[in-house]
Amino acid sequence: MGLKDLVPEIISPEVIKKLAFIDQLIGRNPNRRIPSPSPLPASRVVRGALSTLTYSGYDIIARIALFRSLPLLTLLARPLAASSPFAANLNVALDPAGRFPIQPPESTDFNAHVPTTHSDSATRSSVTQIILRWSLRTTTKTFV
Amino acid sequence: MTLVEGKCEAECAAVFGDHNNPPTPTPSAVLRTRPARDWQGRFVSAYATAHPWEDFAETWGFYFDMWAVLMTMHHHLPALAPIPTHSPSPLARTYQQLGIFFNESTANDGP
Repeated sequence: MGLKDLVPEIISPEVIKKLAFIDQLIGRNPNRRIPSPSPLPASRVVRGALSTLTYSGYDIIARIALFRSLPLLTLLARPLAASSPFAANLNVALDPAGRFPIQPPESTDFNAHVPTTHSDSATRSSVTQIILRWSLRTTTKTFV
Repeated sequence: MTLVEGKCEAECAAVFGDHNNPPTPTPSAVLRTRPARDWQGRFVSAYATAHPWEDFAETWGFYFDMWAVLMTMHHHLPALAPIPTHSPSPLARTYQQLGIFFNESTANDGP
């Protein structure tokens, strides 16, 4: 059944005969419970609203937890990143405190411009991305 | 089957076919059965062609699906789906109209 045929458009007379038999059979059952047309029960409306709110609540809690724990996770991930073979191959040198070396801000004096080492910058950026992705994934798995 | 066996087996057999002949097949045999080309004219699904009991079960499920869809539609869009009656013919007619509406709507979203 494709998207185009969500509901059958043709119900043959023979099928209607079968449906009539089922209808009669249900009619004979003393425990027959065919829903009567009535407004949506309040309990169903309240339940729907509560489930929506609960979902939103979980979502908000997960987001807060994610952003609150990000610095901690990044801190925990630093030694891991520093000792990983990936970091060693890329020749990332961390300072004694385990932080990434901070580049001095780029000078606005164009005459004194020193070409930046693009590879260093790219390496730092990729390692930071790895840490951030790992933190995000861990936090998401933990809280969501 | 509890509703039918020993109560109205003959009536059921007249509508759905004799459930004792052919005998109830095994589930794997049911899955291997190829439906007839014109099954849409006589059954609610291809699977229902496997055996009269399967036909009964599929029609039973279809009946309640129909009710559920129509009642839901009536609650949300009463103009589109009037109060369903207990008679199968108007029930099926409304369901068909809704079917065309739904199928056209989904077709608008893409194949």
